[in-house]
Amino acid sequence: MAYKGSVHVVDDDESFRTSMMRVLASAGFRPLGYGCAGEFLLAQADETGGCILLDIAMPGPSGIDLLKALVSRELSPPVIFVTGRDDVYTSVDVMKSGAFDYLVKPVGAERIVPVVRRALQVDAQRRTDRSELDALRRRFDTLTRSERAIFHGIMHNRLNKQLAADLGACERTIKAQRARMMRKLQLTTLPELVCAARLLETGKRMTHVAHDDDWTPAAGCAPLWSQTSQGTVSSGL
Amino acid sequence: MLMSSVAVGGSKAPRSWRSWPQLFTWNNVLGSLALAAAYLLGVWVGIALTFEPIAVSTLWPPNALVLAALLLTRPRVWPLLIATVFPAHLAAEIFLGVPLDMALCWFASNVAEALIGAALILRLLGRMPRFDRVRDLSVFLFAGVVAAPILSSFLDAYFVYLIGWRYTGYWELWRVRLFSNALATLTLVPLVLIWFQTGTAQLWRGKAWKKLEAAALLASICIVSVLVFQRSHAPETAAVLMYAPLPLLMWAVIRHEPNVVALCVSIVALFAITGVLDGRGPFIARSTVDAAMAVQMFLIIAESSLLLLTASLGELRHARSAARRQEESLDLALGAARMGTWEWDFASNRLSWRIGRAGRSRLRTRTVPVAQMLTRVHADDRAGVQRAIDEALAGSGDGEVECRFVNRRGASQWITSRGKLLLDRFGNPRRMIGVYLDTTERKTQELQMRTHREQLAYLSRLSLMGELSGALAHELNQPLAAILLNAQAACVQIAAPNPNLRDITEMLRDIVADDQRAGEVIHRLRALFLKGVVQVRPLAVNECIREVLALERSYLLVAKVKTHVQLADNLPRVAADRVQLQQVLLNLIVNACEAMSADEPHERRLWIESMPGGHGKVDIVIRDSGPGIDDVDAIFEPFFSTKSTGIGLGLAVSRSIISAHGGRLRASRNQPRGATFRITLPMAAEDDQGETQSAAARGDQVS
Repeated sequence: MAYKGSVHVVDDDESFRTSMMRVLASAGFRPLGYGCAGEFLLAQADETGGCILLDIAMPGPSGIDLLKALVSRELSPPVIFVTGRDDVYTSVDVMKSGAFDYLVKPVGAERIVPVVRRALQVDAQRRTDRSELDALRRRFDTLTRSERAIFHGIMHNRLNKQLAADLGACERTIKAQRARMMRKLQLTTLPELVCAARLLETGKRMTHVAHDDDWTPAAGCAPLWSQTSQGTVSSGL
Repeated sequence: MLMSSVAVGGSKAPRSWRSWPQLFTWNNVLGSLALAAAYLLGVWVGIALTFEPIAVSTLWPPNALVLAALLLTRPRVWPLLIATVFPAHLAAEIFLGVPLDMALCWFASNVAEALIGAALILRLLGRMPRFDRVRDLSVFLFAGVVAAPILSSFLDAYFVYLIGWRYTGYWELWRVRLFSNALATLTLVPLVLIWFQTGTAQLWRGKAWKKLEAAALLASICIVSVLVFQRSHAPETAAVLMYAPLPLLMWAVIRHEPNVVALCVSIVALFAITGVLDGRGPFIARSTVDAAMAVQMFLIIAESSLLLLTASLGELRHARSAARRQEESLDLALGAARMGTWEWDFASNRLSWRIGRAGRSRLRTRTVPVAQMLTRVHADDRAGVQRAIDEALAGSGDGEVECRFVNRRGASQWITSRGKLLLDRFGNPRRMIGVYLDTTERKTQELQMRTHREQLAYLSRLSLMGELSGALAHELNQPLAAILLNAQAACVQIAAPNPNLRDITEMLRDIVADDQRAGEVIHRLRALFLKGVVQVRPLAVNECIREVLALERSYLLVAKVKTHVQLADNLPRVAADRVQLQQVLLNLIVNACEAMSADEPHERRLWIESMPGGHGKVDIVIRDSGPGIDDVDAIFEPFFSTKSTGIGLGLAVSRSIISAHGGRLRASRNQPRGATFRITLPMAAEDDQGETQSAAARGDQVS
C-alpha cells in the first residue's frame, strides 16, 4: 500500500533524526528531516501533506509552539510527538492541543511505524474528504432556491405533500424539483443525501476508518517487533 | 596571756577618732588594766635583775611590754594605754623608794622609747612586724632594738644626771640602759607578738609527736641552761660552754615555728642573766658590770642571729608553699584544659612531661628517652614532628606541631604541641620546653562535622538531581533512541534482497558513537549520584563547566534559556573536588533558570564565565537576567527559599562546599536586573597537593 505524503522528522538531535529517517525509509515512507521548527516552516512542508514527527525541546520555538501554530491552519498534517520528556502534564497538554500521538524516547520502529501509517491514512482521508466536500459544495451552489428549500425540508423529515403545502406548489412539481436536486448533487438514495447534508454542515464524513495494523516489515526481521503493538486510539474522525 | 584582751580590744576599737566615749570600751579598759598589771610585773622582774650599784637593770621588761602593747593596738588606743601605765609606773617606783621627780622622768623616757619604736616600725612597715619575714625583722631590729633605745637612753641618762639620783656617769648610764632595753626588746617583743599573732590555738593543734618534740626541746633547753648558766665553771671551759645551748636553739629554729623559738630564746636569756646575778655561769668577770655587759652582748648577738635565721627559714617556707600553691593551680588549669607541659633535656636526651589524669588534681610526671617517644608518634605524622623539631633547633618556625600518638592498645590521641628552645649562657641549645594540648575531641568533632557536611551535600545533590531528572533522562534517552532505531533500520537493510553494506556500516558506526555518548552521560551522572569520597585534586575549571553544561543541555533547552559561555584560557587549576564543584555549578544554573521562568523566553539569558581572580585564584561567574535577589545575605541561610518547591538548602550547602575548599561564594545584584553569583577558588598549590590532601583525609580516622 503506497502512502501519499511525506513523514517530516523535526528533531535537533542529528543522530536521532538520521536514525529515525532510516527506519521510516526502510518501512517504505518518504522521510524528510529538519533540525528545528523554523527550518520546517521555511520549507513550507506542511502544504504537501503527510505527518510530522516532532521533538519538544529544541533550540528556538519548541515542538509545542510549532504544534499550536499548525493546528490553527486548515488541513494541518497530524503531529506525532517523539520526545524524551515523560511527564503527564506535557503529554496531556500536547494531546489537548491537538497532537495525533505522543511517543516517549527511546521508541522502536514497531511503535513508530503503525502510528505513522495511521497518521498518514488520516491525513490522506482528510485530504480526500476535503476534496469531496469541495465538490459537493460546488454542486450545492448550483441548486435553485426551491431546490434548496426541498433539501432542507427533507432534512427536517417533511413529506413531499407537506413540502408542496409549505412551498405553495403542487406535489408533482415538488417531485420533479426533488429529482432534479438529487441529480444535480449526484445522489441517488436518501441516506446518501443525509450523509451529504452532514458533510456540508460539519465538514466531517459519517464513515469509520478501521484500525489498520497490518504493516509487516521485510521478511526475516519480524522477530524484532513481532508482538502486536498496542495501537494508540486514533483521534481521526 | 593577760594581754590578749588588749589585742582584741585594740583591733575592735571604733574607727572614728572623734568618738572618744567609744575608746573606753570594756575590752580597751580591761586591756589597759592588764597592761598596767604586766607593767608592774615587768618592774618587779627588772628590779630583780638589777645589779646593785647601778640604777639600771640588766633586762628591763616594762619598756618592751609597752612597745609590744603599742604594736598590738591601733594608734588611737595608745593614749589610753599610756594613761593607764602611768599610775602603775608611779606606784611601783615610789614603792621602790625612787624620788618622785626621778620616777616622772623615767616614765617620760620609757614611754618615749616605746613610742619612738612603735611609730618608727609602723611608719616603715605600716603594720605589725611578722618575724618570719626578713624585711620585717630588719625593720624591727633597726627601729625597736637599735634606734629607739639609743635615742631614749640619751634622755634617760640626762634625766639621771639632772636629778643626780644614783648618778655614776653619763656614758656609763647611757650604755648600760641601752643594752638593757635593747636586750629586753629583743627578747620580749618577739615573744609577745608571736604568741599574740599565732594565738594559743596553734599550740594545741599540730600533731601529737610535734607537741611532744617541742616539750622535749623546752625541757632540754631548761636542763642545758641550768647546767651551763647556773653552775660555776673553770675559766678555760667557760668560754666554750656558753655555746652549749646553740644546737638546741638551732633545732628549734629548723624544726619549729617562731613561737617555740622565741620561747626557747627567752628561757636561755632568763637563765643566763639570773646565773650572772648569782655569780655563776660562764660570764663571771672581775666586776658585775662587765659580767652583765658580757651576758647582754652574748644574748643580743645570739638572739638577733637566731631571729634572722628564723625569718630566712620562714621566707623559704613561704616561698615553697607559694610555689606549691602555684603548681597546684597550674596543674588544675592544665588538667581542666586537657593540657600538659613537657621538657626535653638535651644533655640526657630524655623527654619528661606532666600529664593530667581524670579525677586527679595533681599531674603526674613521666620521663622517657626521646627516641622512644618518637616511636609512639603515628607513622604518618613522624616526618612532620621531625620537621618541627629541626625547625625549632634551627630557630625558625613557631615550634607548633600537630600529631597523633598511638598507645599500646593501638588507640590514637591527637596532640597539638608548641615548644620553645632555651639556650645556655654560651648560646648553645640546652633544653626545650613546651605545652601540649589534647585535641582528640576537637578532631573527632571536626571529622564528624565534615562527615555531616558531606552527607548534607550529598542529600542536597540528590535532591538537585531529582529536580533535573527529566532533563537528564532526556539526555540519556536521545542516544538510546537513536541506537534502537539505527539497529532496527540496519536489520531491515540486512534482510533486504541486496543489502547496501555501506549504509549498514554507517548505521553501525552511528550506533557506536551514540553508545559512547550514552556511556559518557552515565559516567557523569554516576559520579554525581554516587556518595564517593571527597577528593580534593587539581581541577581544570573550564572542563568542569563544560561537563555541567553538557549535562544540563536539555534542561536549558526546555527552560528556554539562552546561555552565553565565556571561558578564559590558561587558567590555573584549582584545588577542588570535581563532583562537589559540579554540584555547586548545577545548583546555581538551575536556580538562575528557575528565577527566570516567569520572564518572556527571549529575555531569559544566562552568562557563564571563568576568569583569573587575582592572587592565584580563579573566579567562576554565573549571571542571569532574572528578577534578581532581594536580600543578598539571606539567600545563603539554610531553609531560605523563594521557590515554591525548594527546601532552601541548595545555596547554604553550596556556600559550605566552597568554604570547605578555602574559597568564597558571593551573590550580588545586577543593574538593571538579574543576579550574579561569583565563586572564588584558590589555585592548586602543586600537582602533588591532591596526594597530601587525600593523605590527610585518610589520616583523620581517630580510633
